[in-house]
Amino acid sequence: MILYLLSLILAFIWVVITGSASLLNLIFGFALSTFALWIVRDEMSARGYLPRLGRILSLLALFFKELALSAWKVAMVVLRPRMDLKPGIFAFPLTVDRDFEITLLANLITLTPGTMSVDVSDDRKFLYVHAIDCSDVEAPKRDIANGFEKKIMEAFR
Amino acid sequence: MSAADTILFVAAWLGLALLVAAFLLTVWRVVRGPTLPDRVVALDMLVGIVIGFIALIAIRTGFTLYIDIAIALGLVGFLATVAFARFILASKGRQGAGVYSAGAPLQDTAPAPDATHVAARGARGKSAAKSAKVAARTSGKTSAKKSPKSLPASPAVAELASVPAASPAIAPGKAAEEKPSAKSIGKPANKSASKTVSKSTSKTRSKSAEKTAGKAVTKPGKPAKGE
Amino acid sequence: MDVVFAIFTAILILGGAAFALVAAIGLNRFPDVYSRMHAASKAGTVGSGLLLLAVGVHSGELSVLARALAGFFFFVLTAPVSAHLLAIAALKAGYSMSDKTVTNEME
Repeated sequence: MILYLLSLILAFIWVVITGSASLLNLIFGFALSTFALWIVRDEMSARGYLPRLGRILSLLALFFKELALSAWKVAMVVLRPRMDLKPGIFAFPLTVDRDFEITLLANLITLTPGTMSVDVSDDRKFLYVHAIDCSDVEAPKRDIANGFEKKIMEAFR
Repeated sequence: MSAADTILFVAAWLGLALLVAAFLLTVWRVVRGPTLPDRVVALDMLVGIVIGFIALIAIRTGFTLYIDIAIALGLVGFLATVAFARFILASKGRQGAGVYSAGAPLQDTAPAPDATHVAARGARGKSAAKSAKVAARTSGKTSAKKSPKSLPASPAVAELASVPAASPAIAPGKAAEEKPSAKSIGKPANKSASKTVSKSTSKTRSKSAEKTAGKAVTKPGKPAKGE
Repeated sequence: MDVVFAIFTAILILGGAAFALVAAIGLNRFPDVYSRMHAASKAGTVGSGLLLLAVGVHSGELSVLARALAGFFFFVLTAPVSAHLLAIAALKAGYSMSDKTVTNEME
């Protein structure tokens, strides 16, 4: 069931991208996306994800808010006449442990104000994050833990 | 011209002006950027700015097809950055590899008689001409003068000679002094002091010079066997 | 109505170009590679993304806007990946951070 829905969504994206909203094109897009999903049939275990759509969307909203904020903050730092930066790398203790979640968290961190994920420790306990302003290490840690990590836990657990 | 058109016209021109300024600043970073990652970051940024240009052109001309071009360019830029990242990782411990410092230290690293030998043999085939070029590179101008047949390679030498002039902080004498220890260099030992970093790059440079010298020696072996 | 669309487009154009300029200035003012990546990956992405959105809004067609949105999403998704890859590559290759660095919990 979810696979049909997914291929329907992909078909809509196809229609949007190709830019001609005819029935024939929709059918072609459906066939194409079904084929594409068939290719990755072994990796598909997307059952039960639909109820979480709302929470995923809220994560997306948070992401765009943070992106706008982050670009603004970087702009402010750049335009400050006297630039006294205190850059540094801090280790963020991870609560999420699955590969997918760590990847998502790392990407989200990169687009938040003043932080950029650099590396994951070998035992996956820490995410090394480069920050423009490292004068107070605890503040960004708290922000990430209470913001993105919490949302990710809500959306995918 | 209606009010809406005027607003758009002015905004597009202002946007173009801002983008040109951004473009020039980024190019400046590409030219100056002290390290390879600096340049790659700036090149990545250049792709973003060019996408902005394409978007503005789409607005000014009304061809919305430009959006597809912008997306394609973004894809290419992303792949290029990923490839550059792999390259930086692959060149771990030998930063500055591929940049030749023409001058004194190269002459004693490259065996001069061998090189002239290669250069004299050079003009026969294309691959042989290539090895002649390498030989001319490694042994410097003396070998080029010795054999007239390696003349086609001399523009390449001139080109190479102009490269290090643009890049600062290379002391040729230093590279010659520290040549014996060149092989033991993994990555820059001292992370904070920039002076030691530049020193170690000159070390690694002499190492790369040794490498190419080795190539120049091994290459002529092949055409010799064919005869 | 036309004027409203035009003003909105103009705001998007100027905002995008301004962010691109700020990113370029940041690229020149920040002390080391890692902080420069902050400027390029955030302000730069937002700059080109806003300009793409401006094209979509300007055309007034849904299909064009959807394509512009798709492009915007694409840039936003790829920018952190490339920044992260570059950062880790530079770090592993041993490029040093600037003297102003206060903490490094990685060692």
